[in-house]
Amino acid sequence: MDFRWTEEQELLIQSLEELLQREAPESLMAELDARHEFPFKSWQALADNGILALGIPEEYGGVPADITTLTLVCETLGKYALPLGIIYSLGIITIRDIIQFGSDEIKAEVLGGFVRGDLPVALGITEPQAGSDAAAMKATAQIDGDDVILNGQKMYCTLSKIAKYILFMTRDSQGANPYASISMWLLPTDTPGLRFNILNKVGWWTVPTYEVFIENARIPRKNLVGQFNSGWPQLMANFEIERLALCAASLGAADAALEDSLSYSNRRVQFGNTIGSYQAVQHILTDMAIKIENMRNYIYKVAWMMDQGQSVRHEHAMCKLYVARAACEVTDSAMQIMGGLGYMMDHRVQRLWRDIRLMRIGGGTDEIMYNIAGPQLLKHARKG
Amino acid sequence: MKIVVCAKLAPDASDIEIRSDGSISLERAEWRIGSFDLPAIEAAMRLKDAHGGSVTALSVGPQRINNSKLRKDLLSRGPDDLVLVAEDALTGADTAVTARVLAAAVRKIGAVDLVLTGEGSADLYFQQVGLQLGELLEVPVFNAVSNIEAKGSQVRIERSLEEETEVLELPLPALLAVTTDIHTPRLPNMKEILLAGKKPVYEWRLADLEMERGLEPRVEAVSLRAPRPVERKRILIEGSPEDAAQTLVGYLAKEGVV
Amino acid sequence: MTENKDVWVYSEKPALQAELIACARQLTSHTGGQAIAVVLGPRSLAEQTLRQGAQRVIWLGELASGRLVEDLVPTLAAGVQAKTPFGLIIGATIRGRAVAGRLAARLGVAALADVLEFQWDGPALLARHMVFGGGAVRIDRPLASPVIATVGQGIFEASALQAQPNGEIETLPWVEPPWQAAVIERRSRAVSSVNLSAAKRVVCPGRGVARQEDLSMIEELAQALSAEMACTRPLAEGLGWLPRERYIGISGAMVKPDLYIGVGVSGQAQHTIGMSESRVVVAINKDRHAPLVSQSDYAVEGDLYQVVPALIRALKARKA
Repeated sequence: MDFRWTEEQELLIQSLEELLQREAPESLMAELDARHEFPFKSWQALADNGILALGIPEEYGGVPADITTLTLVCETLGKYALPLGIIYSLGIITIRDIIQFGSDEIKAEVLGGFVRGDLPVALGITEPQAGSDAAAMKATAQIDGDDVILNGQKMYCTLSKIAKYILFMTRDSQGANPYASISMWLLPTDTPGLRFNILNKVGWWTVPTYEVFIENARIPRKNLVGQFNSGWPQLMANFEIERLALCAASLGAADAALEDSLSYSNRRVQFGNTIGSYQAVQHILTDMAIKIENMRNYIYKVAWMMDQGQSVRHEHAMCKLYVARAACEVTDSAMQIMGGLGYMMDHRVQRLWRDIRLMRIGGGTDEIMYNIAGPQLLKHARKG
Repeated sequence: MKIVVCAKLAPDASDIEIRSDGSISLERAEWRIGSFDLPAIEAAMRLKDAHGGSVTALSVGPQRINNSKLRKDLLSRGPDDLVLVAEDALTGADTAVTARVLAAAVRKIGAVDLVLTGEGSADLYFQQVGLQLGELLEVPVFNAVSNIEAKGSQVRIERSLEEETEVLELPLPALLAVTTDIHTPRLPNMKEILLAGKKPVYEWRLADLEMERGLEPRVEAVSLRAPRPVERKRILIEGSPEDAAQTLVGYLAKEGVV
Repeated sequence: MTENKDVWVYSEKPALQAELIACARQLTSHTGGQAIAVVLGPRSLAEQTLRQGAQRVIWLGELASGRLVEDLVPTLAAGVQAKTPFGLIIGATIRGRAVAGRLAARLGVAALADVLEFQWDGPALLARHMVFGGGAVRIDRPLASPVIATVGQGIFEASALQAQPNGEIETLPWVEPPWQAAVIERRSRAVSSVNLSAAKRVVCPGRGVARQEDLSMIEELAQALSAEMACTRPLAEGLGWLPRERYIGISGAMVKPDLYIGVGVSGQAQHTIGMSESRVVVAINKDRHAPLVSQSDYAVEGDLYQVVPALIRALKARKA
């Protein structure tokens, strides 16, 4: 087993770390968070330095990168500028869907734009009555000559208003099997008939989330991504990598929380000694470090399996379940170690704590991860 | 324009360890491209982008600099190729020896229009090698260069001196040691990193440069130690800002500095 | 080269030249030779240089218009080769560094850069200087002659001007340089009028200052103290909030004021090398474990956004 990074990975991450220090310093991230502003300039800097090109086909301006490398990028973004890690991870699923299923025209427009600094395509899947339960989806697509008319309402549609496109999922009410009745459309956000309502969240203040109302939005039929009524398996094809990316960003954030905790423990003096000299604090720090090491090992292993072309059907779900919870525990421990300071809005630990909490919900809840992993484990045991 | 840009690969000064006896260890320090050399590489790349030609990176030092990652790191920043003279005979080489080896390498590269160096090395920062190199090459040589415009067989440069900016025109070939703020160095992207592994690296021996002579040191480093800290009073003033300010002004008045 | 025992000095800055003369006299008190100053300028400058304590002046005449100080390199090299002094100390300005490096190359030696102190080990000269961004002190022994070294401002103390110097002025034949640069323009840099190394009081903001506009508060403190405004390197080079001339540190200014106040300065070695010889050091920092706090005489632990306004008020109250 070789745990070393390649020289190319080392150089890329070294370059990215410097880029983030220049273009997305902690002071800027704190300021944007307080103002609830999207980090447009930092995002553009990622594009200008070729980070967004990673893993995109070369004919659209991309550069080859394996999943392990993308994972390292997400981890680094998560560590130095978590909002960028979140945005990048959210984009991975829609961008990969476009790569895999988009027409040449769609690919040229969306992938080319992404490489040049467009925001990722937003994902319009969840509805007021339908989240992980696709069968309950109500949004519709009505074919009208060369056009299609979209109707419906999407919840928690992150980035949608500020992105150029939404990957909009509709349900064919005639289909008996709901999973074979869903279609995927590239919906430009400037299409007449769209209305956005911003939602207030506990965290992710720089990454806005909207409720979107779609009324008779007319788009060309050629904006269909992939096959008609194949939207569900198409979407599922890239959920695994999105979850892995979110895990990597969470790992980076947890690592940042540990760094803050260690440096604080070495500095803060109580009862005449640094708090780090007390065993109670050392135990917390050690547990945090173990969790981070476990997160890292699990994430890298799943990335490696994916690069080998192996199935990660239940592994990715178990990984996400573990990492999301461990990251929440680590950021919570960081807040505990920093005491009053950790609860103050001017320290980054509270931001990590708020932002990381969503990782147990977004990209599939903890409970859904159990639902994916459990049956798979039993199935494998039956085979054995 | 054919440009050679010199870069020093050296231990990162921020990684130095001070042992309890005050001696210094660099064993764990990571070796990097000198931070003052990166703006020189950027300046070379911008000249190439504007006027065409080629950029060759040149580095001399101990065997250790001939390391695959360092080579890729250098080449990922844009140069077309790399010349390395990496021999342990050059461990701790003084500025005179370094300049001589560089001069021999530049002559061997041949037909060079412009040699660029950084302001100084990131580890020693003597700011000497570039100037010595230019003089050995017998070409116009200037330091503190903060802007370069190529005009045919001439360059117009700006020098940021202590109190003035001096604009000069000089014939090529020339050697220019650039300031750290001439340009913000670009950061290598994955495409350039992948490409770097495919660019030519020429490993030359001192014998190839006919440098068996002239390598005797002119300076010997007698000792290297952590600086002795200056004794300070170390009085910590706490309390409300108003009280602390009053207390501090009181102390400063007693010291006779306000 | 059969050497004599004289030490030559050269700086295009008369104030620094005076300090170098003091340095040369210290060295020649050991070698037994004379402290000889090279002067490029009007004869009055040569005479003034004698009053500064030079035992002899080598006067090269005035610099022709359109020529550069650096053009003296071939003349100086020829002079050193003819007269074989023990050493040549050059002021560590930008032009001085250029002269020293080029001269060293011509004479086949390595120049000792930014020497902070000369010591003697029997007959052997040792030079102390900082390396690794201020993280280490290196002592070098020159093995070749002549000794060429650069010395910055404020390292040696110039002696008082002599009313009736008794040194002689001699000349050297001018050697035309093999190439020339055409001077197109010289423009003074408005911002560079600051002479930090001569400042008696220095206020230095660091990365603890969050926004550029907050510098006005620090400037107000500097005014209340009649201090010069300096800064750490990131503020000048990374952020570009202040001109490059104002940053203190390894590649910037070296200061030795009576009072240095670091505001939100963490105290990395690269910075402290430039201010460690200040007489009184004050740190204002919210982190009492910042390295500068342990290297200060007085440290105020607190939020600079509260401490600095309070300090301005206290200073103003004291004046009134």
